[in-house]
Amino acid sequence: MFKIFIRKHYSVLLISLSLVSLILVWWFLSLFFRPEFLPSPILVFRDVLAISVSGQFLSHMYYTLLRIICGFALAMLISLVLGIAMGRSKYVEKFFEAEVLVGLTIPALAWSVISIMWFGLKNFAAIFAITVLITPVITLNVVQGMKNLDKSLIEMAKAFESNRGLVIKTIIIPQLLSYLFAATRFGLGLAWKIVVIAEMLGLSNGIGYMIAFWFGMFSMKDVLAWTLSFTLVMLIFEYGLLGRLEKWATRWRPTISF
Amino acid sequence: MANIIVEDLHKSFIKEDGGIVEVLNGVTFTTNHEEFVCLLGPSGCGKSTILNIIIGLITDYSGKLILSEEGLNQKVRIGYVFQTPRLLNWKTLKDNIVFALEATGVQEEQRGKIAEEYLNLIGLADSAGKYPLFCSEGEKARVGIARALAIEPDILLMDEPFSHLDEITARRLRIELLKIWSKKRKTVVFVTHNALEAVYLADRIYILSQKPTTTIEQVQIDLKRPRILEDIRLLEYQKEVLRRMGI
Repeated sequence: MFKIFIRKHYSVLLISLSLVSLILVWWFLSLFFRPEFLPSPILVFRDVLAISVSGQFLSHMYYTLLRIICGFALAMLISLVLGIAMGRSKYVEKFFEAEVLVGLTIPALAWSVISIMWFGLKNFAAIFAITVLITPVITLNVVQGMKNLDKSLIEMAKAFESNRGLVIKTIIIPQLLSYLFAATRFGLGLAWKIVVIAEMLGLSNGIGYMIAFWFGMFSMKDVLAWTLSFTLVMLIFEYGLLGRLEKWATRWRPTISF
Repeated sequence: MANIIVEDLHKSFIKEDGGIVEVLNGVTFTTNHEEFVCLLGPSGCGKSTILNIIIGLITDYSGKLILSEEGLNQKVRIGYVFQTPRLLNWKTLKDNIVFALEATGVQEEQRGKIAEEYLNLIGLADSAGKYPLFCSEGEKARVGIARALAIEPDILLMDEPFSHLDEITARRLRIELLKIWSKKRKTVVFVTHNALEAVYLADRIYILSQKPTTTIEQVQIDLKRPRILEDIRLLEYQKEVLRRMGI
């Protein structure tokens, strides 16, 4: 009975065990330092609770999320158009290749500074920074997906006199989907990192702003509380939402076991 | 009365280095109504090219191609069974057939019912909700056939559909194919490089040459159905066909 339970839920059990031991190590280490340097997890979690209950966290998280979602959606749109065009024509691909490579190389911090200098201390500065940072990454994924399209299936559809719309809906998009999921994962991962930098540098709300604020006060406890809460939300988003969605969308694929 | 008339078909491809490969150099054959015709030729002799011209995937060729439906001026509907099943892995077996029906323009209300009917015909009614990657090669090949039949074609084109299967599965499927064909008679053009398969299945065989391909001659198989693979007369026919192929 117990064995079956472990075998069935081993991944959840192991992840919980790993997290609990991490917190224990943190707590143990905190015994040797002043709380201004390394506060104990109890202090930090009490803070997390406080900012959650007061609604402070939620209101700043709202701005941060809004920026991420807008920037990400914009990047996805541009990447789809660009990536499909690049995947279809080798001339278009060669033309935009340099731009994509340059885009991949420019550091996130540079983009944040540039977009704040251009657009001022506004929401759009953060959105712009996210969009330019992640567009090249997603574009590359879409191009890859386009190149790996199974042409024999498109031929099959033509043999059954399928029209273009049906081919795109039932043959092309499902094949691109796994590439888009990979791109979304990677793109969102980059987005949360840059949005915080942009908020820190030039905005007056959002998680990054609050971390910068508490950095100014030199309060490690609050910096950790804000960082942890933010990370938690992102984890839930990535594994809870995105992971589940991906699992559902690829249910036709047998899981590979080595 | 759906027939195919192919006369003096020529086709060449241009290679990437600019050279020209001549694939078809005068292919001629006809089918009769509800006849099972095999095109038998060595591997790589451009058999698939012939079928791709008939279905319209290749349009730049020279020669005559007539698809006729006697008395009516309507379009002839063609079902195509590919060498590999070419199923959509993200759709269930049933939805793979539904896709073909939707592509061909069958009314939405009827698609599900027709798909189930044809899954039943190939003995996979219980697997309607299965995804292709969870199926055996034999099951996938069956669905490929059901998909082509479900659109109620006038003509069925088959491109070595059993060549990638193990011999036992292939034998079983040949028997099933003939059973289904006896129920749903169609004009069939079946391409193969397997002489025994050809004499077992066909009413008439056209023997094709090496590339550039021409039709060498035709052999009528006068054996009653259902045929038995070990029938001595069948093996005689095989010998005869192989001799004419120059083997």
